[in-house]
Amino acid sequence: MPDMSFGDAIRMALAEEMRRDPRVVLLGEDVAEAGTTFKVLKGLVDEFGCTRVIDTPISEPGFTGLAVGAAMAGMRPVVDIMFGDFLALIMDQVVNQAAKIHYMSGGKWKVPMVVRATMGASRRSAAQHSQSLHAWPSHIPGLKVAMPSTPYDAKGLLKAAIRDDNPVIIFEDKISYTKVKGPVPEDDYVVPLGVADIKRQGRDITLVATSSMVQVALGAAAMLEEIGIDAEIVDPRTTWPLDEKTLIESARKTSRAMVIDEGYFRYGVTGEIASVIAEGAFYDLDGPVRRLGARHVPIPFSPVLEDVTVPTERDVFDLARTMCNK
Amino acid sequence: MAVSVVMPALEMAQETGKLISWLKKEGEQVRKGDMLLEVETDKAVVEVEAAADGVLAGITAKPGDVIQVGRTIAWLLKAGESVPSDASTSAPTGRTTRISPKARKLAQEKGIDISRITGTGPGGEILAEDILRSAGTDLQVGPQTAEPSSIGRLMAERTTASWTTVPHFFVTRHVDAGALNEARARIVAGGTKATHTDLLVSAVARALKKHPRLNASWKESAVVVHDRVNIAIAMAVENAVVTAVIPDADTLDIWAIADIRAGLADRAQSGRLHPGDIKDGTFTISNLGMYGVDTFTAIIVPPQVAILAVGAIADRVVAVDGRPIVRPMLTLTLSCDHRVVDGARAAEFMRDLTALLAE
Repeated sequence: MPDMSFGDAIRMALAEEMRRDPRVVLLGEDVAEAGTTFKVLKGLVDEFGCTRVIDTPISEPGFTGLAVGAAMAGMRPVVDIMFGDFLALIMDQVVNQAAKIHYMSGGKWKVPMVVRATMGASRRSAAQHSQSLHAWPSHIPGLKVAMPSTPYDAKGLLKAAIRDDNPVIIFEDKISYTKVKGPVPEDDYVVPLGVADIKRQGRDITLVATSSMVQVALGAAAMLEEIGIDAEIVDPRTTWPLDEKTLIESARKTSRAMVIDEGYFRYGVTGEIASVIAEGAFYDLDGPVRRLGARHVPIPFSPVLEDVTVPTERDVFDLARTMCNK
Repeated sequence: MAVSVVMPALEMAQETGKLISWLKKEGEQVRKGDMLLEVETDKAVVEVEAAADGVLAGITAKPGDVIQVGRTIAWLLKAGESVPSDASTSAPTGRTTRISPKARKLAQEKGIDISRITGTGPGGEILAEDILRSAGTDLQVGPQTAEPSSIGRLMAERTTASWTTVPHFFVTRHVDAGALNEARARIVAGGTKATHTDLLVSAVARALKKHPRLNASWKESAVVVHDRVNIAIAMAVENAVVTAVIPDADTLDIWAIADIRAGLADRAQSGRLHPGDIKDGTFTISNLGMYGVDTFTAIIVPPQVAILAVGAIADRVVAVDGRPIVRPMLTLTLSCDHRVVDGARAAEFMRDLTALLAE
């Protein structure tokens, strides 16, 4: 099985689904000839033509609304939001339309659309192109939110999202596109939405990490191993549906839990997951559940400042060490 | 006015009492004199009466709590009254122990007293590891440490103090128990469940009247001879021993002694001896005959100066008038405090006791 980059796994998933189902179409800015800013869609227009890989004007609300309608009419559109920060522009289309149609029509309408959005800092892209806003759609009933951390999960989750009959938002870490590589089967497989994955087995502490933070947690776990702390890394893979059972079981096993996420710390994904663990594993916890997330500031352009804004391997290592009393 | 319910001082120098149970519920109407709660002291479990009429309210202590004497643990309210909010009525409580939920659960499972554990957590919290270390378990199997009960702890302290400070010596006599057996058989036939111990109490009490020096106390380098003869009987209870007292045994007939002794035994077994049941003993009898013990030596219970250890009655071959014959025999061993009793006095007491038992 060949190793493949995270970005190539995304492209593979889209190509497979487009071959399998002619209703699958891609819309977004620079998705066709340019293959997006991140070159993730490179070559798809050659295979599927410009009627299925559609370059749109720079109007996220416009083409996202178009996708909601197309989905209701039976298509399976995949919308490309170049920077997750632009989620702010499509909130009405996603939150008040896509998420509500199935419910308000008494199940008569479905909205089988996917929004692919990027996330992640440390690209020196400044405050408007560096945020991780996955907490927003996770808050809304009617939306599912996927956050792959490996090429394998990226392909499997995206295929599951496309096949889902209602809206799924999938967040792709910009740094991971080229930096994270791993084995990806050629087979037609899906990763079901709502099933967490244990990325590393361990005894002493549970590190719950999402998306980009899985790599950070793995790096920290290697450092922790050297001082005799055996960390378990749990990747929820979807913030909704959330695999609460796996999170709680791991925390009960290790008796310590930390949640690491690149989104803003305040009122974020870490708070929700920490409370799930605190409620479910309270009597087996040997200390409070701790959290790491982005600092409560606009992501700075200054590289020095940006690098201390989101959690690092060192941050995870230091906190885990304190929690394990070593 | 609302009447406070406080942890009572039931004994001299008692500092704390352990609440065993509330006999009334929060919100229940209570009459003055009703039994309100049960308290365990070092020596006994005692029922405590309500001091006034009222509704029981504002309970702040739960069964198992060890509470300072004098601390308010509840209130008795008249109609229209509420629990006074003045916190100064209760004694200050100690700093709460910080402990992780997992550690607390482990401590409960393993029966570990967390107040004795020093936490090693980042802020001094007690962690699961501290409990496991304290339990000495984790993976290794080893001797189990058990917390003694109040009575067990007291027994350990008292016997150690006695054995290390009282100069003991021992006098032993083999006694023909034929008359004793016959006397008991007669009383039992009359419908009273008398035991050998009851008969011994009666005989010892009479012997002590003749030998007041053995019915005495050593107190601050002086001998205090008691005018009352209160015979304490050692009784085995769970993991400890208590000495319950038959007061003025020298003035009681055998039926009265049997009756009082039976009541004491019942209360001792159920852990409900009253303070009056265990105080002011002047001489102790410890009988291990029912366990088949032939002879043993007992530790004196200060401030008493003597204790009689009683073995089993068994058929033995003894020489009578130059001939070997089989007789029911009993071995009595007297432990004496040599600061008060010398060998000759002990021997005279034993001679007279033997004579009384032969009657």
